[in-house]
Amino acid sequence: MTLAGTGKLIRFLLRVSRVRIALWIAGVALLVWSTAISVDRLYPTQADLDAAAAPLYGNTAVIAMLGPTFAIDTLGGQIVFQLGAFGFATMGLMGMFLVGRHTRADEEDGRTELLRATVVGRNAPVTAALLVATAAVAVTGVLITLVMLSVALPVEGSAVYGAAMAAFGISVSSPSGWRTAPWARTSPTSWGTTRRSRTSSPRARAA
Amino acid sequence: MDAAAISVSGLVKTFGHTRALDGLDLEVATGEIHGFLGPNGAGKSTTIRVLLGLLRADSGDATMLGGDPWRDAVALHRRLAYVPGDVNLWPNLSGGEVIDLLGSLRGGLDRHHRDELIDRFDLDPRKKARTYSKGNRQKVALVAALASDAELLILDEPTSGLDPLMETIFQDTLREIMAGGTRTVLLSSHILAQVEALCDRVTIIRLGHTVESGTLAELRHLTRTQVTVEADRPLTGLADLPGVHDLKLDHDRASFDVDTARLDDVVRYLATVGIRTLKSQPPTLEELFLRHYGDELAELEGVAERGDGDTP
Repeated sequence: MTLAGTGKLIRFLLRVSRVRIALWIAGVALLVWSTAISVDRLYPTQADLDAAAAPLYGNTAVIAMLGPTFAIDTLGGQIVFQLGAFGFATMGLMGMFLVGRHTRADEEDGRTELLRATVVGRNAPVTAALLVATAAVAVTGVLITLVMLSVALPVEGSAVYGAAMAAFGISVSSPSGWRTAPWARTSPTSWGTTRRSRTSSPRARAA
Repeated sequence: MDAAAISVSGLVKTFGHTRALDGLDLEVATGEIHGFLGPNGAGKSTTIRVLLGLLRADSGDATMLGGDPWRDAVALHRRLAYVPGDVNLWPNLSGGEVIDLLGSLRGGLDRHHRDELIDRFDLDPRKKARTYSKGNRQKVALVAALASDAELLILDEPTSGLDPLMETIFQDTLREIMAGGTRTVLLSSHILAQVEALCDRVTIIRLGHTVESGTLAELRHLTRTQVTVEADRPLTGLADLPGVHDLKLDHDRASFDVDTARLDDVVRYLATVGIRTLKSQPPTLEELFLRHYGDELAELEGVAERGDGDTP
């Protein structure tokens, strides 16, 4: 019964954060779309792609910023390279902020308490928050795949890139949720969630 | 069967080195409004969080509506409604939406009663919560709780931020919903007038443990009545009477405190010396409270004096 009310909470979070979620999804999708469309227009031929790729191989500064120069003489490779770590970071931030908003922020302001006093299980709020963030990240992943397909990239690679971005977003949001949730209950203050409790016994948030 | 709606004994809860609850006892009978009094930091909210299953006590027993507050939290929450003392809402939801959300999460609420209460508390349910004052946010939580059919209401300083008019409306509404006699209220408060007006019994806690519990009449028993008297003959006998304290005697005039239980003896004596004027002030809950927290107040006053006295 610790998950009682999760469904209702999910609907509620989608309602209360619909603008926030829509903006995140649209924002990340637009970022990928603008990169894809500009690379596609900038390097219309293979010769252009080769010319663009040539100075990047072995350019340590660029590699440090954007990641390994993998297949950057192809359209897909160049788009993914341009998005690079930045694209992944955006996905991660999206997952992290959505989970944080629906867990820590609500808890800190006492809204979680208001909900938890109703017929809502102990783990329902965090579960709902994680599922909503996961869904938002997954939808973004699908949109990214569609963007890649829109510049005539192969289905397989497009799907893999969308899935990779989504997986990264989930992997960042989930730990932040699962790590935050129990600590939120067992640490004396909110900043306690960012550092490990020194005592071995669980400590609850002081009233 | 035991009629206690809430039964707590020896509750202990520590946060690190702080003992927030230190062997707290609380007994709330079904059908009563039970006042839960104590200064800030006495452990009122912590106790309520334990009862709501939001915190797990370190030791001690707690039973609520025949269940375990931690283990049976979800089932118990169907039967209770809660109003915190500091309500924060979702800024982009309207008050009406929040009331309906809390209602639906609890498993429905009486639409008619909801509208009536919104009207009575003079709340605009269409406004977004971000535009609400503290008092209005408090009203939202109050309406959501009072419109429910919950058999137990847990109210943690529910009227903080409300003006005196709304305070009256709150008291009237609470009395109305109590009329059936099947509902129970745990009312944590430090507005003593509110407690005196509403509560059948009170529990006073301090530093995490119960210092006094009983009906208001029982507790008054423990207090002193202030008497000022002027008589025809000298009041020399007063000093010998048991239960008379802080006597200021000036021949045929006196002012003193008397243990309320000894009041009868004092009046008998006064009758023999010929009363010219008599003023007696019944003990207020305030005095009862002050007696328990007197030393803390003294401490505060000491601080104020050191601070050049510009803090009250």
